[in-house]
Amino acid sequence: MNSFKLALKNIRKSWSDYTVYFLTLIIGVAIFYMFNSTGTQGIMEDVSKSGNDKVKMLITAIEVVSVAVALVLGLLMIYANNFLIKRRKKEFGIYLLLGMNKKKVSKILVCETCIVGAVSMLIGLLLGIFGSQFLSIIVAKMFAVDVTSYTFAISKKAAVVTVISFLVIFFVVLLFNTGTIRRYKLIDLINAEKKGEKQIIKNTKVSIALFIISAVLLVIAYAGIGIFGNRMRGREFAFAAGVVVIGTFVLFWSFAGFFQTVLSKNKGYKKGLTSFVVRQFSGNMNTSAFSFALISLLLMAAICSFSSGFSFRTYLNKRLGNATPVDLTMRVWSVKPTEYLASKGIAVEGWAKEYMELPVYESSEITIGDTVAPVIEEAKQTFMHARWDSTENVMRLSDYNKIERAFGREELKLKDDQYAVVSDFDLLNKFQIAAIKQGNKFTVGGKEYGPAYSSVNYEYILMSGLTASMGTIVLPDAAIDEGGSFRVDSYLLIADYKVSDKQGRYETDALIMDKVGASVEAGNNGEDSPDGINIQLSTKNQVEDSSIGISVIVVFLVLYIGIVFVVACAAIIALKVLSDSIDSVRKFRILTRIGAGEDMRRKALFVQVLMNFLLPLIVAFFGSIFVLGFIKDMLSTVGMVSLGPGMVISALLMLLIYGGYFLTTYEGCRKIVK
Amino acid sequence: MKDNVILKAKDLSKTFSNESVQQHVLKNLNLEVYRGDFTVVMGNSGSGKSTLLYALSGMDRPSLGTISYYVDDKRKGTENKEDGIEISKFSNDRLALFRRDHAGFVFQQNYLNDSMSALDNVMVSGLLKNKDRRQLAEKAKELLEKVEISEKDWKKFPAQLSGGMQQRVAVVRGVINDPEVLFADEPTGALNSQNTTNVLDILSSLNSEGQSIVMVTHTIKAAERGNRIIYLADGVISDECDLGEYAGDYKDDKNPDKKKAEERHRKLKDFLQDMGW
Repeated sequence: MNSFKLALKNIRKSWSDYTVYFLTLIIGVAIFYMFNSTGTQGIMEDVSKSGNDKVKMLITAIEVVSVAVALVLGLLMIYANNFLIKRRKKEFGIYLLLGMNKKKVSKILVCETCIVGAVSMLIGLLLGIFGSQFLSIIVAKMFAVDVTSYTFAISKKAAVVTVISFLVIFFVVLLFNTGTIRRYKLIDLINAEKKGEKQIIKNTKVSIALFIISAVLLVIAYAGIGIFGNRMRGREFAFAAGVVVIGTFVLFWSFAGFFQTVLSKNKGYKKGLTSFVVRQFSGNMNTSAFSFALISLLLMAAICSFSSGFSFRTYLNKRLGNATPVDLTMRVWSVKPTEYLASKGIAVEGWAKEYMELPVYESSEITIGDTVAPVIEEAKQTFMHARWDSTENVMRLSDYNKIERAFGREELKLKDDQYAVVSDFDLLNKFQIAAIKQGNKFTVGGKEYGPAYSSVNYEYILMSGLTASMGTIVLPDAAIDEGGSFRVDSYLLIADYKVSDKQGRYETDALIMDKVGASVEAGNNGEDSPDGINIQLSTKNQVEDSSIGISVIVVFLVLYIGIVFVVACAAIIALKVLSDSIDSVRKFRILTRIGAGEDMRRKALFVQVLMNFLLPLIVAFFGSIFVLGFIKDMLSTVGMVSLGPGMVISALLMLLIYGGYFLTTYEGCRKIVK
Repeated sequence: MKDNVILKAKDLSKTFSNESVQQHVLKNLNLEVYRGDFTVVMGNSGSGKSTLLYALSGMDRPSLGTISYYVDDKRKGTENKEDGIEISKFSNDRLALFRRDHAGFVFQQNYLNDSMSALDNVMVSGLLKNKDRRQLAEKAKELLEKVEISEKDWKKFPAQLSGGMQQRVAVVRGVINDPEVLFADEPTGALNSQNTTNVLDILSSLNSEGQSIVMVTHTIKAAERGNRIIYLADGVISDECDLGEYAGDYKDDKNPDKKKAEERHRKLKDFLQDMGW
């Protein structure tokens, strides 16, 4: 019988063992292809039309992440293969006994890996190709991109990358397998008696104590990260993270003893098959505490990654909604924008339907520090590198209200001795609001001005996908016109194009950027402008695309990493549970003999499988509540607050993948135990 | 040396090292196994019975000493049995080939491949030797019929067969390649009384057709089938008992010479009693 036929027979017969392996491989290949093909999808081309470099960034990011993903999948496959080989010790023993040499046994394994690999690669690629189209449409809908011109696309490059990556993984797996086979001794294989689980910590008091200590340590470390994480220094944070990792390991390690002791004191313990389930589960936990801890940490990473990523996306989209009221905003220093553009041969009248040019002033009497004066010491701790003595932007009330009208916002109202603060920089807002609440006053030209509003006006003067402005102070016209210390700092140009469709806007953008793009670019990069004029410029299309670009990157990476992590975790649990249930066939047979009915057994099995899946998830979920608190604090520096919607989406996704694995595993176990 | 020696162990030692403790399981053991014999190895638990069987059969290598086979081996480039083939120095792969060509095995557990039918399980052994598939299938079927496994069960998987049937399939697999020696390690250890008799009958019948057998057992019922009983104690052969004169007459035989069968049984029992069994 040749190796190929033998391999085929083996796969067919050990289908229950292979299901999870196949499933994982197929998902792995499909995901790998889907994400690596994003660069060639229609939606990305739409995004890249404005010459946006976000697409390139996304592709680079996905390529980098793909290396890590391949590594995770590779390790997962080695683990899965190791499990499959272990399951078949006896079979290999037979082959060796009958006179097959190890080379030939390895050859059978090579054949099996090749068959499984080829089939799953094919199915995975097909799924990936269809999945990527689906993904594009979802993303297009997410970001309100027109999908009518969308075409079915297959990425050759992604397919090649996927095939090569998985070939490398298969090759490494083969090396490992051959190594394992080589180490096996015939006598050991023939005598491979079933060994019961070793209870690592025998003393139940010790395990209860360890369990409680590790649980308390975990709570403290998590709470520390969640509440104070934002203020922790690198070393403190690393310490807390270290405690979390060690705590998680000890928790799972001591769990079996604790669980068994506590439950055996419970009345329900002797009811039905509870004691059996508890014993089975704690035995399993005992031998695989390490895997469970690792799974739990990975799941936590996935939950946090999903939640914060999706929330970030929601935030960006919300901002986008009211972030582009006009077609172009521009700020030019030292020369009027209209003059500057005319000198470049692109006079505003040529392309703008409507426009306005407004001065922004500065005065040494109003510095950035002055706007937060009562709380400046605290502010300095948050913004360690800010230059508090630089002058603040100041605008006349009538000029500013022109912007309000153009942007469709409510006009500001000030009395003669009042000022208003305009800012959308959340982290700074905190201090500005605190200053206003304390009645912070400015003295300009000998006259004192107090706050007109009880808070900051959450507004911007230049369009931008993300918050960037340190704020603007709006003063009554007279304060600037009559106060001597003000001078013009720069001019704003706010314009609407003659064209109104997106494509037309792209063309106008291109016309303008062709002449001033180099200066804008230099300004963005903090370099000296080639023509000596400093410019800030954003157009409606740029802001929209940039926001979509960032959102797409975030969502893609989060989905990519999250899904791979969850798949890896679920697959490991599934393989472990399946392996254990094969070992417990005998125990279930005994249960049948001593009169445990089908229903009882099925329930026991269900609970056993469920507990294996649930426990690491619960620990992960608990941890992620705190870690997400920390992430929320971090993200609020860019203006994002709510994590709720992201958590809902991520919970649904987790349920889908994790739940799928759970059901597959339960079904597999049921067949084995039957 | 007797002409019909098929296998010879000289100064055989096997030591297992477990952490710092060294366990000498076989100690300078010498043994000749004769062609056509049904050699039974008995002894208390831990006396080294199975270890001896593993070493003799080429499943494991001895720590010291030699094991030589007096068989034709084309691989060695000689047809001269007198030279003997020393397998104790063979590499693992060479040993595997040697087992394939010259040894058959039956164990307490049947070690059938769960993913193959009964017939395939028998044939896989022969196919490893690259025998003609059709001829092999015929031989396999003939042997299966001989051990009363009928055609309707040939395509069944081990899990669908009773324990006794599984073990009979395993015996057939053990002899499909016409091994020089069939090694049996407690072949009836997991069987009920009726199945035990069936399997022993098959072994006896094979032996009467000339098959050399080396069997490790701890039951008198099984040992009775042998013509030469070797008693192992503490890693050495303490004595042996010749039952050759009673060939064919054992208690379970269908038509035994009752008197001879009784005598045979008593002789074995006395021997074992002397050995302190």
